[in-house]
Amino acid sequence: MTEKQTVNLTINGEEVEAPAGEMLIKVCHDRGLDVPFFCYHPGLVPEGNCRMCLVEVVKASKPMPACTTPVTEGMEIETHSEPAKAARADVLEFMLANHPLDCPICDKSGECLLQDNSYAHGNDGSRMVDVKELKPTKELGNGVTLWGNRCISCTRCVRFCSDIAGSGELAMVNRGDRSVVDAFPGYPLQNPLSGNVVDICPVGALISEDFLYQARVWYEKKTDSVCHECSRGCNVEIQTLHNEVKRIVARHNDSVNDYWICDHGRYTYDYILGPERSLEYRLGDSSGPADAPALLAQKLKSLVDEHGADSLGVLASAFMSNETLYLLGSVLKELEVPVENIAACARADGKEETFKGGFKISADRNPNRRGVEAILGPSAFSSRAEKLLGKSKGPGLRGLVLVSDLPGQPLPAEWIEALNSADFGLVFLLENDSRISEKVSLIPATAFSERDGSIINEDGRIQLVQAATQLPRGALRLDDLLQDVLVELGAREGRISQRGLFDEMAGIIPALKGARHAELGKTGLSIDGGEE
Amino acid sequence: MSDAPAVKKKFSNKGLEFIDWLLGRYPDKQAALLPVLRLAEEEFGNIDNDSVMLVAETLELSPGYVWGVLTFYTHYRREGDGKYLLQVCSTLPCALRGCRDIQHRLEEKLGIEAGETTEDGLFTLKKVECLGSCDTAPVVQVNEKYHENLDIEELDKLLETLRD
Amino acid sequence: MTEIKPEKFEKVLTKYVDQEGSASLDFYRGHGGYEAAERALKKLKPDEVIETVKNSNLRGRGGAGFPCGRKWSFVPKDTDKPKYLVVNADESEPGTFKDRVIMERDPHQLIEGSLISAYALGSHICYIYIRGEYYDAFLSMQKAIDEAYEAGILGKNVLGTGFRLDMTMHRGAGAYICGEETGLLSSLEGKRGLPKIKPPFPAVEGLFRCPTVVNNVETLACVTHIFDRGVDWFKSIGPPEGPGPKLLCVSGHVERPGTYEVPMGINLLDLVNDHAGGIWKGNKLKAIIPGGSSAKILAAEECDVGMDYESLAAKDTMLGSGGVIVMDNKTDMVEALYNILRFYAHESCGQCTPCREGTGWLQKICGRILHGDGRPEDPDMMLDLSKKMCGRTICVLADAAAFPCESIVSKFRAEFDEKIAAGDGHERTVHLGGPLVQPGALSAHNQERLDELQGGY
Repeated sequence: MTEKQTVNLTINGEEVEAPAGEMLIKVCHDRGLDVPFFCYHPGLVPEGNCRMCLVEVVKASKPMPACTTPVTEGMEIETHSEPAKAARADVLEFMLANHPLDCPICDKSGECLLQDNSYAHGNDGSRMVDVKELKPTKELGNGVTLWGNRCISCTRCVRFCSDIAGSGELAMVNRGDRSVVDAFPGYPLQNPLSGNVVDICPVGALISEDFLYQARVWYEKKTDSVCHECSRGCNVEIQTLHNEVKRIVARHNDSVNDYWICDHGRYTYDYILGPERSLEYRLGDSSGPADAPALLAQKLKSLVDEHGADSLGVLASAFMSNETLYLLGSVLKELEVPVENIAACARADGKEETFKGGFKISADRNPNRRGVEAILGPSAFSSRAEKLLGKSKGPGLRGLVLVSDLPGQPLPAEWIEALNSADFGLVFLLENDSRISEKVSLIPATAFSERDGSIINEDGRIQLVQAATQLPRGALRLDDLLQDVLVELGAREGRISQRGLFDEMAGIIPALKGARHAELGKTGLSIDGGEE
Repeated sequence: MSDAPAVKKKFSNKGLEFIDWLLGRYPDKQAALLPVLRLAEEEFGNIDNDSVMLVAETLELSPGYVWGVLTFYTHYRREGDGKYLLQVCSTLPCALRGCRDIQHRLEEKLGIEAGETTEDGLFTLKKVECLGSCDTAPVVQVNEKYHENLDIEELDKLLETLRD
Repeated sequence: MTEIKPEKFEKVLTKYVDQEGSASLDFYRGHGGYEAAERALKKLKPDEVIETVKNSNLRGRGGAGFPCGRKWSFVPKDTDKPKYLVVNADESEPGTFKDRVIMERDPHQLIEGSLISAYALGSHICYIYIRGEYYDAFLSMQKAIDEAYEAGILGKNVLGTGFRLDMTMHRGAGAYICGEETGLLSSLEGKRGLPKIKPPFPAVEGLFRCPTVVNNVETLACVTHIFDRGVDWFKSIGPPEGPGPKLLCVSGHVERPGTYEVPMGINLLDLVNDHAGGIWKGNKLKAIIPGGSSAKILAAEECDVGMDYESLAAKDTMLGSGGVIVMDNKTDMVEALYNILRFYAHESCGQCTPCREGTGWLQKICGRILHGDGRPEDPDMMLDLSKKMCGRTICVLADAAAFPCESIVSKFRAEFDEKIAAGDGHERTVHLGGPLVQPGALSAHNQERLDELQGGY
């Protein structure tokens, strides 16, 4: 590790040591100092055009923009002196000169940097009585609409498209106070990361059609989670209102996705409460989910007692969380079902895509293949799946439990046949499948937004998934069900907490190397021993 | 981008030779953008959307990027500009010496306002900023040529000459 | 130091511009052209050339007046990167038309000065960025460059010295901001002409992120004559802190507008009355802008001043580009200011907030006053906004708009107040946070403006 040079400077009278060449704004932010900004974004090359981050440099004749001023030895900065505060208030007055008073109809309200900065640093009222510049409102492509009047020419979206996505669809056009962002006719916003421009627009100039007028952000519940659409495991924030997912936005993680998510992950959530969601529950003569654990435990035990442990087979999925996989494995272990009978399925590969700024969409469209490999073993997908399928065609296999929770990918016909022909067939089902016969037991699977747990991405990073929505009526939390089954089978005394479950699991599964839940935090933990 | 419109225009061979020479004078293709836009202006008469796509393809830039650069500058001939672009200098030194009279005379005689083109496509009238000819004010630049020391009489004569 | 009196002053920059064929290489060489460059390249080391220019106290003629030799000395000596010399021929400051004279009618003195400069800097690539509208000057310069290449004055073996220099003309396309040195560099790089954040300064990190020096046309022409006639000669003309011959452009309400080559320090009134024939039509002087529209205005009684950097700075204005715009007593100063503000609003690149929004805002306020819709608080608001635009932006276009606004409103306040009192806007004072102007209650000007906008919501 090369030794970094540091410099000594003074910020607000306090002596500070900072890495040489680091931008002043980062040094200030790292110390919790409020240096406001618009055009600055830690994931983009700074431009210094909004002038909001102006700070007073004691020996200089004019204020300097913190985002493009590297720290130097002996520098003296004041971030909250009268000149600094005056500069901010004045910049805001200019910025609001042509900005329309759209807050009542603007989606960005409540998470708008212009609102926040005006409130914290601006003047009261406006002196502008002249006609404001008008710019067009138009669709830019990929579900992004430009409300041109609101644009503050910060160029974050332009920089994103050219430097991160690499496709350069957006550009500032015209000059002066007529300048606005636009796309060339015939070349609309098209890149697979386009939704990020809405996230990063500091005001409501770029609006997502998906989210338009859906919810006021201050009413929404916001939950940290992880995208399940590929094995990248990009960090997301799921925003819900009245238990419906309204929006998924990117969450910052330097080790996985920086500040970005792809459009596919962003916009894929309709299925959670969509028309195809399977909410039917039928399990023998169960009267409801309350008696499911006892019934299921009894059913499985009697099957195994009567026909032998080898008569039960299970097909897990690469969509399931580590904890669910672990509990499933525990149940089967308790019943002494041989490990060859435990297989797993996964979604078919898609196309891998890499982008100029380093972002990647993985070919592997499963969120927890690594989890299955670690907990059930790598051959679960391949040789064991083949063997189990083969077995199911013969007389030996009497009971089959399938997990069919891959969104948009129903199980192959052979598995459904096997399910239908088993003595005891049970499927944890996410999306309706008309091929399943009436005699098969059905329990609704949990969607990714309904579960707590952990998954492992393709780099070996364990990350926490948190429940953002409640289970729909009739659905069961699979983890709870399996824990209760274990209790019924006499393997446990009672349910343990999510934390306890993780710690227990990580202590037993070798690949998880004794990780502790407390270590996972917001950005996860690497078990591959590589970069943190 | 598979569903992007196809590039319809082509540079002439001479134009392509010029571009080759140009690319030898700059360390990267992007730096040749302004001169190549001038070439498109010369070869096609003006720079329309098709020209933007051709230039973008030639220099390996995104059309959006070229569009952003093109719209920044005001001295390129654009789609819809007439055969004669009448650029009336309107900044202070010319204003002090009667450019407004020139402006009004042109509006009157051509029946159009600044920013418009005559129906026959012959004249486009534009108000422009300082042309750097303040000592010979008022000045009108017609396409690339400066017409200086104009008065109403000279202006009328100029219009006659252009119409022929 | 003997100051050369105007009568004894001999023109050098425009000595031959009125003669037939003055632009050709034959003519130039026939009058001793390129001998200075040959001497400099053969007898002096690059460092010595820089020292010579430093000693001459030559200051940049583009507008900023920065000492030329000092700028050159900022270029790092030990660097692998190519060094660029860029000639700023984007002359767009209103009231300025001097570089055009040199480029159209005596282009070789620019090429010779560039040669010497490039040699001093160790630069082998020179771009001449010329404004798009200057087509004749472009053709003339291109012809001169072609002649120079043919005669071995440019190219692989400059004047047989082994020094190599390539020169390329690069046309702009209508943007005043491309006269700002880093705006020019952005434009040269094939981008929107947006000025760059400084530091780093171009001498260290400029064109294509390499060390770059940007010099004005007249500055480089002066370099030629410094090496032709010597530093002592140069320093004997005008005040020692900023000597030399100066091209001053007189325009506006004078009998003989034109470019005048005079010694630095000439009295402004002498320039206007003697050289430019005085105020036209028998009218009286009201005001002069001494250095291009970005310079603060001088009211008639303030015009008794020497045209040099220090004297004008002492009167809170500047020599700037040397564009002298003269206004007579019939001039409506509100209209004059509106014209200037419209210019800056049109030319603002739009990058940074105070300039982008401020220039247009100032124009609108002034427009309202001009069209009888002004409010009593408007002039003070213009002064306040001007002050707030200064020192907060990436480049000084905001300051360039603020200076004329502040000085014209201050010095001719009565005209603004009169127009406001005479109009009908003064009855509609809008208090801070008060109601916005309703459609229907707009003045004719604003209603027109609103009508002409189509689309929007």
